[in-house]
Amino acid sequence: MKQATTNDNIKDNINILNVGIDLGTSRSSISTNNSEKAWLESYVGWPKDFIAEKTLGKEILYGNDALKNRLSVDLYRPLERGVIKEGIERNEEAVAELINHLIELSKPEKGQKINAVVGVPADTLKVNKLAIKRALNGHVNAVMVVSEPFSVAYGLDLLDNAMTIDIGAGTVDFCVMHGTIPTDEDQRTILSAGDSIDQHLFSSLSEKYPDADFTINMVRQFKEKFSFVGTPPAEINVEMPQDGKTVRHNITEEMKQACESILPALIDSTIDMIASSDPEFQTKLKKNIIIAGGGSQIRGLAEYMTQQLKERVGKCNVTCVSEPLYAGSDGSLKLAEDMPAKYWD
Amino acid sequence: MQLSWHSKSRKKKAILKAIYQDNNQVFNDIPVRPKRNWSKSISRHTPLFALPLLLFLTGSVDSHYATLSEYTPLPNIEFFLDGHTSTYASTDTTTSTMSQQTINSAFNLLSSPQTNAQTNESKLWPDLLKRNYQPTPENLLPANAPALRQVFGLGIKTIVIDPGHGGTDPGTSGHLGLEEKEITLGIARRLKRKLESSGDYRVHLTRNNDRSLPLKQRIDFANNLQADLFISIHVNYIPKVTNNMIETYYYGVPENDNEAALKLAELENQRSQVSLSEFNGLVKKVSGTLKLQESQRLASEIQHSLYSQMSKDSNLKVIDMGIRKAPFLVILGTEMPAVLAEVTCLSNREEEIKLRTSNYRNKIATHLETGITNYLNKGDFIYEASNH
Repeated sequence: MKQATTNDNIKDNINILNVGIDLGTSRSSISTNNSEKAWLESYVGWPKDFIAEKTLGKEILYGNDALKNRLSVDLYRPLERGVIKEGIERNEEAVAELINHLIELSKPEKGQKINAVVGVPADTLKVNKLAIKRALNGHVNAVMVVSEPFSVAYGLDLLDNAMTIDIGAGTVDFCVMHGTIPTDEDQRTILSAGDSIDQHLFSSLSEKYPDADFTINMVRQFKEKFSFVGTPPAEINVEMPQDGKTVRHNITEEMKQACESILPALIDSTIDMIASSDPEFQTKLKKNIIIAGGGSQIRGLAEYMTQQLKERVGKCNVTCVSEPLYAGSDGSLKLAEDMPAKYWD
Repeated sequence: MQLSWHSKSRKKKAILKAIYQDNNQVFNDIPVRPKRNWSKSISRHTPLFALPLLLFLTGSVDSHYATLSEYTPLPNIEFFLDGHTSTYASTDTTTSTMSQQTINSAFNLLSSPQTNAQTNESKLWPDLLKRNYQPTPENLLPANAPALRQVFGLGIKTIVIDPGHGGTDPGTSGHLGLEEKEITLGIARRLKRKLESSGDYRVHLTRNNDRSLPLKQRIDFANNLQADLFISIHVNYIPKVTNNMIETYYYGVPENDNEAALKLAELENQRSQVSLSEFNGLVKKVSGTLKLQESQRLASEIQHSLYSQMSKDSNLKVIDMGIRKAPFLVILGTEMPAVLAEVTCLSNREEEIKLRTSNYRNKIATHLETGITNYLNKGDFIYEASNH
């Protein structure tokens, strides 16, 4: 019987492309069952006028392409703080374009039916579900929307007694798994995330080096290269133009303060989630705390959290996913593959 | 714990089915009623007289639910407007507690001069039937009603303390050179330790060292933490005044064109990094009844504690300036009840000498702590009895 079921599933899956998509404020990624993976920055841009269109040679730009040519395009970052901003012209169109471009990057075959599972920040689930469904109407066979941290947990096979913390640009999402689909109370989103670090660092550097010329994008790149909490691994010196000359600036202390600015909210929310879970399983839960998302790459974060949590709630084990960029989309893909065919129809 | 294969397989199937059902519900516009433990949303000790208020604000009660423990109201508000029944539907169906947005919306609807709103609770709220009645936060509830926070059983867990100024912004300074930024940080650190010692609250400082911090970052810090209370600590300086003065502010436009309050707010709002459009957005938000009422109550308790205790501690005459309204951005922008306390006066030489000492800063922190805990425990008969 089991063999027959497997064969049925294989038949059902012929000519169907299952895709898992992680829609993030800063980056979005896709994983597919034809072994394709891709990611891009969550920007979409339409050329401002026909001259820009002619110069760029494209009707629409995506990701870093849109960012590099931001002066020539109307630039959209449709997932600010994890929520598709409704009522703003072209935001839903931007989401649709972003998802469709991701699907194109995964090279589907012509005529292939596409089943998509899309992960979004936990607290914004309902709002985003409807917007994503509208955006994808006609482009995919079927779509399901789930919360990001849940898709990370599912992808890692952590169905029980585990917590995932997805630290993104716009949001940090928490999800406690206890063997069933997580409810509202098992999930939480806070807004103290990567973008907050960027803003903090930008303000601090503006104050310390008022004559230096730099942009928020440059600050973001410094963060992605040198972020840390706790003891600095080394002095951080970066080059920034100043009065036309390239000058090296020490930003070690500012980087530390900026990265550590999100820690109070992060630790407090983690403790809250532990405390709210079933007391019988809290000890097991504390041993399975997984950090995902771009923020998991902050050096020293897992160790810092382990130490802080140990002081406040007892021994905990905090680890980072091995592939933070695709943890969400891999999880969504696994959901898509495991989803019975009858649920897609 | 390693799940057996069968157990895991069963759990997976259940999860996948639940995802399908969840998406199906939303996509087919089936109203979602989140399961809620009613007793977590509303305190078991909600006074009975508050229930009409609750019903008024939530509107329709689903008659299918026989017991309070099963009650899961959808946040719709029904009003009889000019002989017709209208429904205001909140879009917020994802939270499991009454949203401030719903309360604000009810307030805004009622306060429209074109509305002749009637409700089926008219015998309890006769004023609402008056044509062109414009309810304000102060008269929306009877004067002796408990705080909305208590009515809805809203807990306080996270407190943010904001030591004023810092870094390149020293604040005011005394004749002997003592700077405001040092005093506010010293008091704030001590207050944090005192509040944390009970184990009931998580307390955060907007800054824990001598560094510059724009107002916007202080606001964002508290909002990102989703703090429940915000207390900004400052020190006054009144030239040519020999006495000590204590005053506590909450956000608002000062009455009687109080120039001093406006001027003080102007000084404190400098270098805010808040744009005009952001400011307009913040002003719209502040009409939140809950925040206004709670800020007022918190300010009142802090002021009372500071004044009554410091009058005893000091040889100087201490002037009670009371609680006041002023347009301080730092307490406007925070989404939780917020106050700004001018805890003492640096213009007084004797006061400046005392403020250099750890002991005196500790005393001020204690008085602040008393004010905060009095506010937090208001209505707790055991607490109030033990403190009288």
